[in-house]
Amino acid sequence: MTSTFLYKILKQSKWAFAGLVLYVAVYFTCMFKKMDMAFFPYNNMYSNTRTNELTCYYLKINNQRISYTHFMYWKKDFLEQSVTKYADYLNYHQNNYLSVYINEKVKNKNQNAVLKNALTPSKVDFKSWANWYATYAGMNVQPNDDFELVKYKLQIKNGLSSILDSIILCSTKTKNDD
Amino acid sequence: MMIKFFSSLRTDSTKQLILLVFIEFLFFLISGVGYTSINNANYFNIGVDPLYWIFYGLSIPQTIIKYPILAAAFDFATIGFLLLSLFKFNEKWVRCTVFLLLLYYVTLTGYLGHRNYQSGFVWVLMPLMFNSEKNKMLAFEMLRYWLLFFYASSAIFKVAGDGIINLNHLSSILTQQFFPYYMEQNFGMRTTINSFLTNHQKISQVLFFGAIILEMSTVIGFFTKKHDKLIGIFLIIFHLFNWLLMDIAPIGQFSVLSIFFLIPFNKKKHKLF
Repeated sequence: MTSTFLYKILKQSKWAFAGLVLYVAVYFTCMFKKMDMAFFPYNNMYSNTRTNELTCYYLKINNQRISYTHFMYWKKDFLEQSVTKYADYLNYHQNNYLSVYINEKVKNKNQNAVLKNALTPSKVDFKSWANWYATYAGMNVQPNDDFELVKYKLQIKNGLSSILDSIILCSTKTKNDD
Repeated sequence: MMIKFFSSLRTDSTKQLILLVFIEFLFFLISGVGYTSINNANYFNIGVDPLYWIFYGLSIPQTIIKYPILAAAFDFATIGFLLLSLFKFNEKWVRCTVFLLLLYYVTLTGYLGHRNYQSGFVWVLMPLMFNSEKNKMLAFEMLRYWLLFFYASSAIFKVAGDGIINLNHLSSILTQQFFPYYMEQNFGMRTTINSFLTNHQKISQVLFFGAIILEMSTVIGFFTKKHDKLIGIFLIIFHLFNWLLMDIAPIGQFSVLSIFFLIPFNKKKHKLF
């Protein structure tokens, strides 16, 4: 008993012991509610089977797809996630998850506006985001370059991939360009 | 001075830990996701997490990312405080370092758009913020239990989830993980392995069970500290396979796993620091 970690903490400081018990209680509450936070991670990744639909997003500059798998891990991850999350943002009519969450939970208009203003990005137009993304990916971006954000559906059979479908989510091209 | 430093490095766990974090932070910078590299990014996406709300509510990450000079200053400041903690160890420097690493992690993952779990490089230095040796040791012990729970809970979720009974569970995950590689026709060794495993579902599922066993091994750590090194090796194997098969690099998590090797939890008199 005296060698247990909790006893050692209690012996060292009652406040630390109380803090630790509180932390554990909050952690289990968060887990029970399936909440995922930095200090209280809900680490259930890859425990459930996903849908079989294979989709991914790419930004095209002047009809050339910006690839990212040749970059080192973190930059590749940053480019992959950025384009996916921005596509989600466009799919949700320029809302991200947190702004939808705030809309659901905070009904007071003033509080709602204050929270969204502080915690979500102001409207990010496609051209400025695409400019940043292409530059970050190492492209030499010119002012009159055209951008398209494209969703791809793919199938892989015996290690061979083929594109089933592609949808343009957003484009800076005008109709006359086509 | 350097000779003295390197000779002390062989026996000083504190310096070894800080050096590992320093190397990991350099990996972030070299990979191209330092403040300076992601400068001017204009879209962030944070979840329901009060920690992120504090930083983003105060507009700290947004301001750093907006101004190139601030971005460069914070990159240099993080390196500077890591070096200060390494060469002139002082709890005050470590507190500043932990704050800067936390700010970096919150900024990176906020702009990345999702929080991955490679946050160990922030947590590992937290015990060193305490002044007394005993408090440091207790904090390391708490971090150890936190890590054990982190991996053990993950294994339990996998056992409880529907993936364990679905034969093509891992093979379908593997396909999705390497989707961009197929899309870009970037065929290397890992894509070849991926292709093999997606076509051999039974072998993939055996690997999934293997991953569960590796993570579940941490349960032993709740009862005894005798096998810490073995647990550490198992977790490193788990992460290396995550990189090889799932394209999830462990950079950010290796330093925290090192506590299973570097901190002698079993010794009654901890003369570590």
